[in-house]
Amino acid sequence: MPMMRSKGIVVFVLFLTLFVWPVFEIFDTEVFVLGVPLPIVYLFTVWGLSAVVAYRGGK
Amino acid sequence: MTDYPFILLAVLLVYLGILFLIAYWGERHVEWLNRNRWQLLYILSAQVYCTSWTFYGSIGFASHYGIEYLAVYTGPVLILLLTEVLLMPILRHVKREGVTTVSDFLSSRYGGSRSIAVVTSMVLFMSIIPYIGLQVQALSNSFSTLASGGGRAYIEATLIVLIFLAVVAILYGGRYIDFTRPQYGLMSTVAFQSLDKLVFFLIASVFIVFVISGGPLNIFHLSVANPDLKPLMFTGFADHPYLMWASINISSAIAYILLPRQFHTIFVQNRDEKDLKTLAWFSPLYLLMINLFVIPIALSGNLFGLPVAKADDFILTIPLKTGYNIIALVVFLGGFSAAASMILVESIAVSKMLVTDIGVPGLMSIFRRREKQVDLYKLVLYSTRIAIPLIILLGFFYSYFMLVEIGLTSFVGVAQLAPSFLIGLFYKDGNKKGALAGTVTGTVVWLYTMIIPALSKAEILPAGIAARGPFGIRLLSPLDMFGVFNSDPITNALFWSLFLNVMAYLLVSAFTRRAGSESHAAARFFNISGEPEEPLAAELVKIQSELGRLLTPSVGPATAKSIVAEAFTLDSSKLSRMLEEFGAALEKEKRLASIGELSASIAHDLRSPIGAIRLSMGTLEELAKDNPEGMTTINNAKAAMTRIEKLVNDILWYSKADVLNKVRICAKDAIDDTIELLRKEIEIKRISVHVYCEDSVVFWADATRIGEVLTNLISNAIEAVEEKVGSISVSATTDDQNLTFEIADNGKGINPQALGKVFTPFYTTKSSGTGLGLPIVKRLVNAHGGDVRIESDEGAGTRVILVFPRTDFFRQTVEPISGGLED
Repeated sequence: MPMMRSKGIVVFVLFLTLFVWPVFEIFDTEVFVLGVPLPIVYLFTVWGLSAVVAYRGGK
Repeated sequence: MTDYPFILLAVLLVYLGILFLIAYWGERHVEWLNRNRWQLLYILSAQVYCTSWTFYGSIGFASHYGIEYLAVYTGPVLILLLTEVLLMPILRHVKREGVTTVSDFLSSRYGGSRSIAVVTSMVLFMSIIPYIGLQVQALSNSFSTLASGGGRAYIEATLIVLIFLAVVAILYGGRYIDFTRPQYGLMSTVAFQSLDKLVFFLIASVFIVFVISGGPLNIFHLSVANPDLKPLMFTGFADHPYLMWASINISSAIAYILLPRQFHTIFVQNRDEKDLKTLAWFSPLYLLMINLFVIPIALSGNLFGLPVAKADDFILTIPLKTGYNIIALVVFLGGFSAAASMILVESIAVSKMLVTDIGVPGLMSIFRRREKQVDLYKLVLYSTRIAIPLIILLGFFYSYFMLVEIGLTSFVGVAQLAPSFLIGLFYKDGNKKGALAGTVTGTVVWLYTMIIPALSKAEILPAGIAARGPFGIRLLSPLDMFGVFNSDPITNALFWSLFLNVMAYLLVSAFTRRAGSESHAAARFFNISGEPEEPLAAELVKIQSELGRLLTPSVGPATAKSIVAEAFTLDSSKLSRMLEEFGAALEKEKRLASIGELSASIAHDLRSPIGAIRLSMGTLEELAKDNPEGMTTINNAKAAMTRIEKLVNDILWYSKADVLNKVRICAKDAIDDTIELLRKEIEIKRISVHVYCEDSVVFWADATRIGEVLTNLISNAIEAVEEKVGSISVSATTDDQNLTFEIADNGKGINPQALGKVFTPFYTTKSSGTGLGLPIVKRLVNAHGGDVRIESDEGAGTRVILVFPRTDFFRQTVEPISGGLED
């Protein structure tokens, strides 16, 4: 079961990174989060999460 | 800054010296690289993905396409998330088959196919040479920018650097023909470069962003107000940002595992599956760190009014323009490091591929036609050593005559191997013909959609051909095939090349049959049973495949297959005889093993009664102390008992030789301790013993068993020499590959007939010997991965030489011992 869950998380992150941007065009919203453009905040957050997922998956 | 070149050259030479020392140190101190340290080297070395294109090119890319440049790095992050389901099966196949390159992998997947190996090598060669050229150009440009030179100045300096890199690559990458061996020197220096390029990039970035530009928020704030810069914080100036984002992600994800340098560092040099799992989270963090400040620097360069056409150099020109020359120097070293590590690993990996897939088979067929004997080992070794500088030289020439801007073009080229590689991992019916059809089709489309437009842009081909298409047929325009991806050349090239590649692979595989050898390879690859065969034929295939697997790390699967096929005839009578001999040998070995186990068990059981007899003899000795005749009988019985005890102990030593408890040993201490143990015998015979060994010679071994080996050999030497004139020398020396002990005496020597039998158990020429001394020595030395040989001249003396491979002495702490050819 934990194996299935971690695989699910992986697929979810993949989905977010590759497809959310094209579908919802959030990268063109020109929104700033605390003065930083949203796409940068979004991408680096997903990126960091990916590392966490990989770290936990490798345990 | 007219005086800059001298300082720059001096700094560069010092830095090159440090790189060389690290490589030298890594190769000489393998024992220092325990499990954790090796893991650190491994995960850092895989960051060779970040080249000068990351260091300089990312900023230029971001200056045109905003955050879309990040797809070059999110692609690898995506594929690393698939470590368990994708990378791990690749790693297991690499380790199981002993493959060392991408072409080896594909060739072994499709039955040791030579044509697959050649096509793969050619595709990678076409993609990688321009990529190496890009690194050379970055080196040359950064040098000339920093030293205020112009154009293609400083070619000499670049050449000096390249010669140095070629020497390091040959010394530490072309050292052995078996690339599955750990390349300690190379990995140490590449890991160091990965570390310093990140540190240098962060130092320079933090300085530019926080000190020079007032912080990232200030940069973003100023850029929002500028309509020319605002898009860079979002999707840049691309017409089809989403398609481009997906295309770059896909091509960089594929490149991350299929670029020769990546395949070499991630799979070939891997020693433990756990290290790959560590890489899966370490790499995303590393890539994130090195990209944190790219967008702010790209914006900052624009805010400073620097020319966008030279945006690649922003990280160098911003500190130079603001008078921070030291920061510029730090950038220069980081960029140099990024380019140098790529050139090192890529030239080694590509040269190995070209040599085993194209060079050696070609040369072998020439030698065969001329009926000349060829030393395959030397042929592969020296061909690789020649190919490495040639690859670097080609990169240099390419950079000098740079015709085509490369980068993503290279990635799309490498992606043509993905269908046969990645689909082939899971699609059991994928076959050689399908793989060939797919790869060739995809490569042709790649050349058409990316190289023709580039040549057209460079005015080598007619300028309009890319836009209008051949013969004015717009639907065939290389930049926009069938009018689907207007103005997005990357997606146009990637989609059509991969689409047609996959279609050709699947369709041809579906409508063609596999050859026999391919079926066996596929069965082994997918761990399924092949078609049922005659037992004899099945045994033949098994033996052939095992032999092929042993040769693969050195010559690649295709050449290994042809060598084995040539050596083997399908003569069934010959094969039957061979199998009978093999079976008989196996039976004999089993019988001997049973006898050995029985002897060991009896010997073990005899120890208690022997102890009881010894005690009883002590009592008898007390009782008979006044009876000289009785004492003589008891002493005779004691002497006989001592011989029985020695025999029992020898049998136990012999039977348990493989059980090792390895610790770190100083060779000199081991020799001195043994001599101390035998001091009494030495003094009785009044002979001289000389020891030649430095304190620094250390190794990993079972201390008790090495002590037994030395005691056996030095006792033999003491027995062999004459009183007073006898002389024994014991030495231990070490070089890059081996640790060698030598025990020499000027005694009576061994006659040639006896010399051939000294390692046979129970063979002895001594009246009181058990005949197990030298067999024990041989078993103990073999158990440590070493070998023993004896040279003797009757009447002149004997030399016993024990050779232990250094790597095996180290490897027992990190991995199981595996064989391989050495220089």
